[in-house]
Amino acid sequence: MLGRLGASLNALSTRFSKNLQVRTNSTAQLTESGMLLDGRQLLHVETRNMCRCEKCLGKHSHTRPNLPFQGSNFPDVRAEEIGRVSDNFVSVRWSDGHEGLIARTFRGDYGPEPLASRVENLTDIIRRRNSEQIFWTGSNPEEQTKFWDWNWVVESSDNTREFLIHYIRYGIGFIKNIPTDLSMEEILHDKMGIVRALRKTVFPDVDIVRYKNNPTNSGYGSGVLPGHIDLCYYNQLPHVQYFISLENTVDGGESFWVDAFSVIKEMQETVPEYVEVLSRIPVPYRYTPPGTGTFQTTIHPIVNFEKLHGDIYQVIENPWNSDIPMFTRMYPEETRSTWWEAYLHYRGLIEDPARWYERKLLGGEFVVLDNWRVYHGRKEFTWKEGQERVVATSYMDWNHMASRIMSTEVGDHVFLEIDQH
Amino acid sequence: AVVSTQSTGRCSDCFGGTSNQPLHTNDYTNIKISHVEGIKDHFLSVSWDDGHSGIVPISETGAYGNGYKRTPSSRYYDLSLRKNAVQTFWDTPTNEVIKRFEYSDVADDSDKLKEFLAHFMQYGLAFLFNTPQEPDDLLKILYNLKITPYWDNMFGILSKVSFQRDPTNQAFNNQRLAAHTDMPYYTQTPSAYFFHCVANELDGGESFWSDTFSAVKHIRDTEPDKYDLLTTILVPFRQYPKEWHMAGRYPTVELMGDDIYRVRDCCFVIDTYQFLRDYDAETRERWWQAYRTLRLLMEDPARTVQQKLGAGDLVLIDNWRVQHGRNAFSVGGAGGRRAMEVAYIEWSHVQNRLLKME
Repeated sequence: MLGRLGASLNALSTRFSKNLQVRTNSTAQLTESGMLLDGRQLLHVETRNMCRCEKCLGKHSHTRPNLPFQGSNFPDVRAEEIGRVSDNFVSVRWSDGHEGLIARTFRGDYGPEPLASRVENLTDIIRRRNSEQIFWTGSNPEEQTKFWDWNWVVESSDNTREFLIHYIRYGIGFIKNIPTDLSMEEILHDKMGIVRALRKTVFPDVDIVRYKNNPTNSGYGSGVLPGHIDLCYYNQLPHVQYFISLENTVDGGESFWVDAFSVIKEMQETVPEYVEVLSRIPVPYRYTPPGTGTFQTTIHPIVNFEKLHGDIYQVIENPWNSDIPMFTRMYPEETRSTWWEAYLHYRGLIEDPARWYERKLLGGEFVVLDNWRVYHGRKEFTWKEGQERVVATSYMDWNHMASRIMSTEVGDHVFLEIDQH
Repeated sequence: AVVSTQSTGRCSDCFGGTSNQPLHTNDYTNIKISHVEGIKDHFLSVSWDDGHSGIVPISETGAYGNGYKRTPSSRYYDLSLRKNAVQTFWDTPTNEVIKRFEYSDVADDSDKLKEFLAHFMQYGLAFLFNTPQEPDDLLKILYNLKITPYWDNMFGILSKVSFQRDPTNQAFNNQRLAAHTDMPYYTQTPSAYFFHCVANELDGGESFWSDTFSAVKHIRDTEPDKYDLLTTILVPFRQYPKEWHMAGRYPTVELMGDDIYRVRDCCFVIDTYQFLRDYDAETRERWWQAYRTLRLLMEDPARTVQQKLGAGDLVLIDNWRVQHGRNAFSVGGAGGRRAMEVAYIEWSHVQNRLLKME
């Protein structure tokens, strides 16, 4: 191994160095399985797939172009020589004849500041790691019920990011003093800089929720809406949900929210067998309002976990769209009985008012919700002539919101610094 | 059984006639049936010890829609839930896999459209020919077929795929694109997309598709250890061109019960640097061997459908199952163009079109 390294270093002067100073150090060594780089063991296949030269990583796309039709991950290629080592890169020659460079650092891989540090600091947040989240009940801690001022949020890009990071940590975020003459898209895209792409569903992109007689959805009625997650009958539930209270002059109609992750966490500690049942047995959902031509059905377990760390990842549950008749056809009585026992315990916790944060939203108040974590509901209201309770609501893919946190500013090209190697 | 019967109640006090949703969500744990009246049509009349009397459905017709709503065929229902039992995995492109449907037939006849969609769900892809060929016609096609709404994403509602200098995505160059599924870095990777050929006049640029479910099943049957790795190890993906940045990590193969449900595999956006930080070398080594086994199958020409699409050809692809790629094509020269348009759509919206009654 040392002989090969010595041979590599000797070759540097003619092949890699290009009259630049060469550092000999122990940060990069070839090994039988690949390369030991800054204390990390890289596999041969990984080194080849990490090449950052412009042939291997598109300068403008940051993705890998022109992979072969077969062997697209260079499975049998080995690193054969190590060349120049600079602050962020290492030159390498591989057994397929390719000469390139791999990154030693975040900065080398993803681009200069601030992108590199953002990747390092925020990846776990946008990936919904429980270690970065704060579970809550009621108004505890108070931070989760904080109302952010609209003018402050949009005053700068960093402020918008700070608000969105707060939202991710708590699963909910509130803003006051929203200008009511702005549309939802103007608020999200023009002012907050979030990509202009709302999640399209069988409801309008911006759904105005206002009382209706004979509603085709319970949300348009005036009765109690128990805590729920939206659109569970979708194969892929919308994730980020925005509410703007446009007007609220009715009697009653207070909104409330519940952090389901705190419920699951508590159940993991007190009744873990129930959590196992809720994560193992999928439940059918269905949405078929008459005369609308809509027929949606799917199955989901109530709770999903992330496999690498065991984090609570997603909760899916809505009592008025669950398809109980189909449930009775899917499973034997014993399985269903076990599930009902676990589910009713869970539901009892969700429906405990001590866990709710409750507020009557006023006109101009904005809520962003994690629809995979935080339940929302509404108390009954009475409607009289002249009164209104009007809420505008939209959905968005998680990644569109998260991109706002991670990306540099619009128009800011971030090229890798390979020319400085 | 007690909780179930109360939860399936269909009387007008319990079930919204205009919403088809329960009106109450109470804890019925301690409630018991006190009296059974009898059966009439699709319902059983029941009284409970809380004093409530109502009706419980005893058939699908009774359960769904306050009466006699015709339900979709069970085959369509199971296909829409992606059940392997009704899917056909393919490892060679048979005539049935590459069956072509005439656009005017499916646009004018709802039953033929459902047959087209059922074919798509069974095989993971379906071909339409003789569709309109002008730019932006894809949205009109989807409107005519009543398969809406579309999925708005970073590329917009309609993604136009043609050659660009300095491409911000590999699809926009003229090089070979290895077999892949689209946008694996999305938390919710798009489930289906329409790929519409507006023009394909340049040399090369043949499209090809292969069925990952067939490959995964082969691995499950022959090398179960590798199958376990593909279903448990989370692969990080990252896409960070100008102006946006997306990242996520997911297993290559996701299951629903025992069914193969979804595959994410896009080799040119794997975040290898993140992968190093997530797993130790030994785990990664074993994963790379398993992944290589999958890739060898996906990249085997004998397992692919390959076609040079012509103007007016349209392919509906299950992005959670079928990988696609493209041969390199020439640019410059005497003229001609290669213009494709793509619209993504939620699985639930395709399902909706298949299952809904007119």
